[in-house]
Amino acid sequence: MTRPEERVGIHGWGAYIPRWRLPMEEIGRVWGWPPHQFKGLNVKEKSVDGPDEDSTTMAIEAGLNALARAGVEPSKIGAVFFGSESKVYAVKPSATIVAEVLGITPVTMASDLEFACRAGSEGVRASIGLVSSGMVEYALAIGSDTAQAEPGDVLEFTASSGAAAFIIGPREGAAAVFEASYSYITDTPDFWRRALRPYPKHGEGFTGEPAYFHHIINAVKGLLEETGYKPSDFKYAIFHQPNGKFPVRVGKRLGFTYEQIEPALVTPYIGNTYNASALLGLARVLDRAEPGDLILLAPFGSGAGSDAYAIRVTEEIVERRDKAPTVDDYIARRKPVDYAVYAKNRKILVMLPR
Amino acid sequence: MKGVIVTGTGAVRIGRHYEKSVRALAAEAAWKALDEAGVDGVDFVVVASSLSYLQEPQLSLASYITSSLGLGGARAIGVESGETSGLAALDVAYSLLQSEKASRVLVVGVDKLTNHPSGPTYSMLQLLHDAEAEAYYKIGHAGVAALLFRLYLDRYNVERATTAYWPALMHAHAKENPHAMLRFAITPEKVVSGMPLADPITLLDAYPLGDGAAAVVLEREDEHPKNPLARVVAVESAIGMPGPQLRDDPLDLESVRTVIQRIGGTDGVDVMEIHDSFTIYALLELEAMGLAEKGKSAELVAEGYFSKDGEGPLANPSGGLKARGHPIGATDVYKIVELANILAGTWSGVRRGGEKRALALSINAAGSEARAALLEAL
Repeated sequence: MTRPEERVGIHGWGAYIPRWRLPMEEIGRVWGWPPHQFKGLNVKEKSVDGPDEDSTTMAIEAGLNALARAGVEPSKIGAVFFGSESKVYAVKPSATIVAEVLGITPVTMASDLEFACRAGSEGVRASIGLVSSGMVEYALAIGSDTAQAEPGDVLEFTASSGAAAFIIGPREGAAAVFEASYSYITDTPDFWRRALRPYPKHGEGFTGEPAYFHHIINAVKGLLEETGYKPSDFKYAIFHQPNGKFPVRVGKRLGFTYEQIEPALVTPYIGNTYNASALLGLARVLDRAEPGDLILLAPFGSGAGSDAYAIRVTEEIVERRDKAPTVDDYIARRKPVDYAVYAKNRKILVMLPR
Repeated sequence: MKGVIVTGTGAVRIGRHYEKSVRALAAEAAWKALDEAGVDGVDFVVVASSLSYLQEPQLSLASYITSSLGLGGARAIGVESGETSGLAALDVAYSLLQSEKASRVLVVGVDKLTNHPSGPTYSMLQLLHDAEAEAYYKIGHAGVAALLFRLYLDRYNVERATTAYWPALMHAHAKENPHAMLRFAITPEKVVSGMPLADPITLLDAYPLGDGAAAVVLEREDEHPKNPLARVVAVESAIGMPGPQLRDDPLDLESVRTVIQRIGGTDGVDVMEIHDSFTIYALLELEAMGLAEKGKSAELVAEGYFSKDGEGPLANPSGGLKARGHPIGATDVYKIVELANILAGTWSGVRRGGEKRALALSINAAGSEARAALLEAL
């Protein structure tokens, strides 16, 4: 009896990161934080969405890249999951806009998922279930966020914008195949945003040990127990990246080395893209992985939960890599902005009605 | 005078105990103390807690703690005196034993500071100060200390860097204290360049927000307790003006001067645990206690006078409020746990050896009240 995961693989992956960058020093300058106060986050600058971008447009860009790599007829996609905590509509799906633009509608499932930074990953795991059961042939799972943070809050240093998309389908012809997955969820209120409030709140230190570390460690341990793998079996280890230090710390506590963790680190260059954070890490690893490589993926979402996946790269990866821009292409495409432009783009400025 | 003996001690490592209630923390410390004393019952439980009434929240805490300990036969008394709650509880216990109303008393100090994010917690801590004259204006717990610190540096022409030796010394001590919250070393340079809390106070001048509980069992000497550790010689208190702005000299901790006078001075004191919620209070206390001339305490600290190899009394071998931690109502009970073990020779942290006389001193807010206890080796 094989696991459902083993019948399913990733056919295409796609990233999108806006070109605008806000350096940490600029945020520190505005709020009066000396550099050594945010140096510990290990983040250089963060990506900022432009005035014509939002979580939906970024999801579409990433989806187009994933489709280009997968080479799958869009109409064959039977489910679209849009994981975000910065949806443009409170009520009205973003997944339908994405599905329509990408040519997936009308014979498809489509819904938005919400689980802080982990909703996109829930979309991946739900897609595994739908594909392995034969209910749909392909599914599109997306994590996309223009992450909000209260101006002046420590979160503002890292909350950034980006998207990652994956076409998930049958094992045959996939660029990477799933071997196992494991979810670990509790009700832990470490970070939240109540209805009609513009910015999230967080439990400060409570977001660390009882939330991020507890859930990722238990999800990964569960996966290792289930598969019999040990940390050294993996070529790459990818964790949710709220900043540049947590993924390294949680990885080392689980027995992974910096060499396994480093290739997936995108937050030091673009900040925390929330739902895209770990998934952009996966995209960056797939950009460079070789057939046979074993990948550990462990996204995390506040509230709180983590999923761990074991993913094996196939021969197919070689010819898919160059069919769309890589994560590093997007990281290199950067234009710094100052806090004023950022405030305008992010609509932090309060405008009087004309 | 009847001899009052510390016979059992227990302390929880101070930290972010999100998963434990005030009652659970109190029980952990209390059972350690009762086990160490080798007793299974007491006549009275005196509970010191300050912020629990706002954090947990829970009123009439002493009865709930006592019943949850299974000490249904004991009487319970709750004591709230802000940051001096622990020594106030010791005062009550000491009086109960002295008056022979009790033969055996358990003192438990407990407080949690992490049930809420730091914003609401700082609003609660504000209430340690005069609610009408200070807290109302939201000057902040650190804000009052910052004004005194600035005045001190300016009046006595003290270098900011010189004052940073106190927190560095506290961290060096806390490293060796098993129940300290911040067990890592820091340099004086790091203190000065730290994140400003209320200029000139930086993060490393201030105590951390942590949860904790400590407990001691006290018994009458004439009843021949099983596990005598140290003798309580005196417990005293004094009140000062409600705020530093009302004192003749804001930098003169008159409540500390009075309480030290009432307890008979600091002569012969080998080791002491004083109140350093912010660096400036440690400096002002050393001067009010007569251990340093006005404006000279920082220099003495920097020279190592109060360090392990210094000539003065050893200051805060626990790491102090700064680094051991300061769970408000529990802090003074930690001091008694630490000093009793130093005098009994059962302390694994920093000590000189052969200590005979120990002093615990605490103040509330900026000196609105002060309490002290003298302990001696058996």
